[in-house]
Amino acid sequence: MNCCTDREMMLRRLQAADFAIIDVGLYLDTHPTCPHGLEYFRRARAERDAVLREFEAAYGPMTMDNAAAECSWDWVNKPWPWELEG
Amino acid sequence: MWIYQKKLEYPLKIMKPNARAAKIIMTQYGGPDGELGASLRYLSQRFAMTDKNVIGTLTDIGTEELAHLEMICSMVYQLTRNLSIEQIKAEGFDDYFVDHTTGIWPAAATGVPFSSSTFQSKGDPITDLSENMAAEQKARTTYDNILRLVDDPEVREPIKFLREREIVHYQRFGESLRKVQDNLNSKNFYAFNPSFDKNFNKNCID
Repeated sequence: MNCCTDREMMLRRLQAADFAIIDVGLYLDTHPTCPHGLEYFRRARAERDAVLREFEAAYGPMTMDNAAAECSWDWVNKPWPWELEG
Repeated sequence: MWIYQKKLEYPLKIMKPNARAAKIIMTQYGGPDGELGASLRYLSQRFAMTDKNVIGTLTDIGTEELAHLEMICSMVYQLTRNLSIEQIKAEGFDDYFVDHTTGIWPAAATGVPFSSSTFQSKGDPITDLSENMAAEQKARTTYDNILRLVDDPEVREPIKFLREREIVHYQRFGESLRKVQDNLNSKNFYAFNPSFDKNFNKNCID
């Protein structure tokens, strides 16, 4: 894969952090009392929250409710996920 | 309800257009074992499910499938950017192009439109979970076939990710089926519908 703008690098960190939550969440659905799984989830969420804050501060909202909504409606700013930059 | 995150589940950056690959990969959007059918199957089946953990599994896998169909659509979009008419004709994309230009529309690789007749929501937890395990295997086979047909590593990497997710989902549905069966009333020896035939279902209610 062609690598990478700074934005793409940070987006990959966020995708990895979010994927950890998706995957351990599915595991916990069928293993709801596993102490290792629960501990992993709490750590993964803390890490994701930190990366998400960093990403949104640098590149704008990941979800509509986190739009800055100051001078203009930044939620719709490009790139949308399927668009290729550069 | 759902909230949109403005990103794909897995990184995707396909620089080289390839209309033939686009047509093959599109089948995982609107084809018989595609991600659209998968997501609608699980999100529909939730309402007849009895076990709270299995409701969670159907919700979360159904939601992840929505992220997967977005990845597939994005791949088709990137593979069909900046195509010349010569490429469209040479790569066998002309029959899709005449109806949709390069717009994204759910159909199988053969052109058959998406249909809910490709999946079931039967109102029986054991029946539905058995279907879901088969569905994950069918999708995994389709991704195996795509990997046999496509060489570009920028296309193969996200396809390999999606293939691996089918394997994880198969595992989770297997655990879900075991959980439902373990919680059947001991009188329900022949596994009658634990959602509808509730006299067999007393142990399933928390």
